[in-house]
Amino acid sequence: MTGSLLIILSFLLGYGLQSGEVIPAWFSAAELDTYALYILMLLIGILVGANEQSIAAIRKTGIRALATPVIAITGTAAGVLCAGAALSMDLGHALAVGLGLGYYSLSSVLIGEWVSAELAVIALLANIFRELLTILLAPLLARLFGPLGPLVSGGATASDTTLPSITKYSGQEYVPFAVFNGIVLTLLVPILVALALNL
Amino acid sequence: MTPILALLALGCAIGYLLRDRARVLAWTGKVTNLSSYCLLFLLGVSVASTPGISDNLLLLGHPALLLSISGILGSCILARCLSRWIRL
Repeated sequence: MTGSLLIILSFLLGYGLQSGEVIPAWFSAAELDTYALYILMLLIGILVGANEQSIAAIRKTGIRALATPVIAITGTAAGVLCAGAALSMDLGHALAVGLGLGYYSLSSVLIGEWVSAELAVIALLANIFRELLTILLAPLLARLFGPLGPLVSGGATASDTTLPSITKYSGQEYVPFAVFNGIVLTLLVPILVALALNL
Repeated sequence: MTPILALLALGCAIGYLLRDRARVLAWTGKVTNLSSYCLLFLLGVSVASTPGISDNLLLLGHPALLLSISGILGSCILARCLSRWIRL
């Protein structure tokens, strides 16, 4: 959780310093963050490409492992489209926020780059909530929806921050599926967000 | 959008080639975290400099909460419906 806290603090620090007019006017966040984002995408790619856990997981579980990322993506898409319609939001925007799948640091930055700062804040909050709710509600989700509940709810975080809750409430035997689910979704988040915004 | 996705693909290829280099990967992990913090800092700066958001930052929590709950419910309900056919 330290990582999550540092991410939120970094955002609040930037927000606070800019609001307090501490940051000089020549400092352009818009230009810098494009390059920082390029570096981050390359690094995420390297980490995913080098991750042998995902290959080990699919060797252990076989093709069935593919079911959980597919369920997480289609179920989330259906859910957020309903919510987007209820909120009279642009449905592509609602979909882009939902398909962050809990990966709030990346999805919010991408949405900030591609759409607006306002939607980026919604994406940041919505995906932080997704991670927190999964951790808090894992026992309830497992009871109501079965052992796959906490796993698909965790989305892209299933291989790291929400893994302890998933292990506890879904069961040890679901760990390889959770790891595979998290890694595949981490890789897919930028692609899915881009697709949602181009629909 | 294209450069971002292209860099992701390029990264995957590089990562696959470097998969046995534990030290390089540990370093990559650290730099990844650091650049995430930088990006979130920059996002904070650009949110604060966008007129109109600062006043209703907390109001954005309402659609955010609804979107996250509906996303969780959608995926959990689908998992429940399909669990009969998917034996893991």
